[in-house]
Amino acid sequence: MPADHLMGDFSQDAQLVEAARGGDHAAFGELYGRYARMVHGVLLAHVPYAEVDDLVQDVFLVALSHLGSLREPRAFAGWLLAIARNRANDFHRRPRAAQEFQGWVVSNDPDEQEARAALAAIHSLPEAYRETLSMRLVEGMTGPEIAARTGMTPASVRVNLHRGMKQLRAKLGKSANHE
Amino acid sequence: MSEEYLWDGSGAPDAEVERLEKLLGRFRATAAEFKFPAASMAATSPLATRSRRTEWLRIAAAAVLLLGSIWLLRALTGRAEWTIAGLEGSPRIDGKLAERNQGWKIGQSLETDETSRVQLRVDGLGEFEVGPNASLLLLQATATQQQIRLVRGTIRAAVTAPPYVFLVRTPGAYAMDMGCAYTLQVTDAGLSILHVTMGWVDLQHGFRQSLVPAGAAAESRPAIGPGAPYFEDSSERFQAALETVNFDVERAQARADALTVLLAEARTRDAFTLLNLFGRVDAEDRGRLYDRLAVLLPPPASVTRQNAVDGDDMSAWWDKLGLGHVKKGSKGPPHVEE
Repeated sequence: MPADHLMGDFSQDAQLVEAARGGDHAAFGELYGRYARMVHGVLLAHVPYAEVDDLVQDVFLVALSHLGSLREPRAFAGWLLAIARNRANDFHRRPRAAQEFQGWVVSNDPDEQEARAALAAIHSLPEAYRETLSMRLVEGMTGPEIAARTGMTPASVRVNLHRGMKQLRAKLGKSANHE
Repeated sequence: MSEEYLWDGSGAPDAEVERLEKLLGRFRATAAEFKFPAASMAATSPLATRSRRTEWLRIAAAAVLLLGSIWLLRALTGRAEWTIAGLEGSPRIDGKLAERNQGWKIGQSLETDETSRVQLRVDGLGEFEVGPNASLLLLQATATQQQIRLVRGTIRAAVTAPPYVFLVRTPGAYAMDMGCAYTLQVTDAGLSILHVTMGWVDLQHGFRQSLVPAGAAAESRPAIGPGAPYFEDSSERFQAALETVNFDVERAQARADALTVLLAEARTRDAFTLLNLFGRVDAEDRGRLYDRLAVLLPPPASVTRQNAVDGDDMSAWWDKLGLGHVKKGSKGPPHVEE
C-alpha cells in the first residue's frame, strides 16, 4: 500500500475516535481493523505467541475504555502503541511470565520448529528492530505501511528493517551452524 | 539482499526474506473484528447506523435479532456469571487468594491490596478492571440485572449490555450504566467520582439524578447524592466552585458566592453544567443561572426567565446542547432498595 495513501489516515483516525467516543461501535471496529495488525506485531515482538491474541483484545479494550482521555484524537496510533508496549511490559512483570514464555508445545513439524526458532531469534533483537521485523515478516505489512501506521519516519523504518534483518540473518546463520 | 523487496515487497524477491515471510506468516493476526461483548450491536449509535448501507442494515438487523434472542434466552435462564479474566498480585475473594478463571459469586467480596488488580468478565455483557486497594461485593448477577457494591477503590468498566442492566452502588449514588465505558472511584471517606469515557452513565440517589456523558465527570457524596456533572476540561476554579455549590448544603452564602465564581468561569461548553444546576439551587439563583446561560446558549422561545425561576421543565433548552440523547433501553431504571 503506498505511503502517501496512508499519510492522511491520522485525520480519518481522529474522525473515527470522535465517533467512537460518542458510542459508535462501528467506528471503533474500524479503528481495530486499521491497527490490529500493528498491535499484534508489536506484542508478538515482546510476548509469547500464545498470549498475543488475548493481549491484542486487552489493548483495544483499554483503548476503548480510555478513549475519552485521549487529548489529541489524531495521535490515536501512537497512543495505541504505548498501550500495547505497556501491556507487554505488564505481562513480563507477572511472576509466571517467564514460565509461560517457555511453555510452547514442542512440534515435530520442521517448518514449525524453524518458524519458532526464527521468532525466538527476532525476540532476541533490540526492541526497535524486533517490532519492525515482526510487523514486516509476520504481519505482512510493508515498510511504508509500518511508517504510516506507527508514525515513524520512512527512513527510520527502512534503517530498522535493514539492520534488523542483518542481525536476524546472523543469528539464524549461527543457530543453523550449531545444528 | 534485495533492499526494495524487504522495504515494500517490490523488486526481485530476496529468497531468505521470502522464506521467513512464509514461515512466520503462521503467527499473523487472525482476528478480523474486535470482540465486543455479545450485546454490543444493541449499543451501536443510531447516528452510526444511519451511515451504513442497506446491506449493512440487513446484516446488523439480523445480528441484533440474533444477539437479542441470545440475550433474551440468557434473561430467561438467568445466567450471567462473573469470571476473573486476569489478575496481578494477590487479590482475594472472600478472604482467599483468587485465581484466574475463578468465578465471583453473589454475596462474595472481592478485595485487592496495594499491588493487586483484577480483570473481570461478565458473560458477554461487559469487562471490568478493579484497581489496587479496592473492596467490592457482588449483590446480583442475572442477565437482566447486575449489581455490585463498590465499598472503596477504583473500577473501570466497559459495558455493552442494554441500558440499566449494570448498576454499581456507592455510598453517594447508584451508577447505572447506559452502554458505556467509565471509571468510578470511591474514597475511604465514601466520596465517589465518576469519569465517563464513552456513552452515558445515569447517577441517582433519592430525588437527585445526573446524566453524565462521555468526557464529563460527576462527584457524589453520602447523604447528598450526585452533584451536577461537569466537563473535565473546565477550569479548576469552575470545578472548585461547583464542588461548593453541589455539596456545601449548610452554608447558603458560601454556595451563592461560589455560584458567582462558577457563572463567571463558565464557557459555552459548560452550559451543560449550568442546566444541571436548575434543580439544585433556589429561585433567586435560578434567575442568575438563566441570565448567564442565556448568554452562553440562547434559550428556545418556549423557555422564559420566569419559567426558570419557577423551576419549570427545561428540556427544550437541553435539546440545544447538542449532546444527543441517551440510548433508549428495553427497560427503565431498576427500583433500588437499600
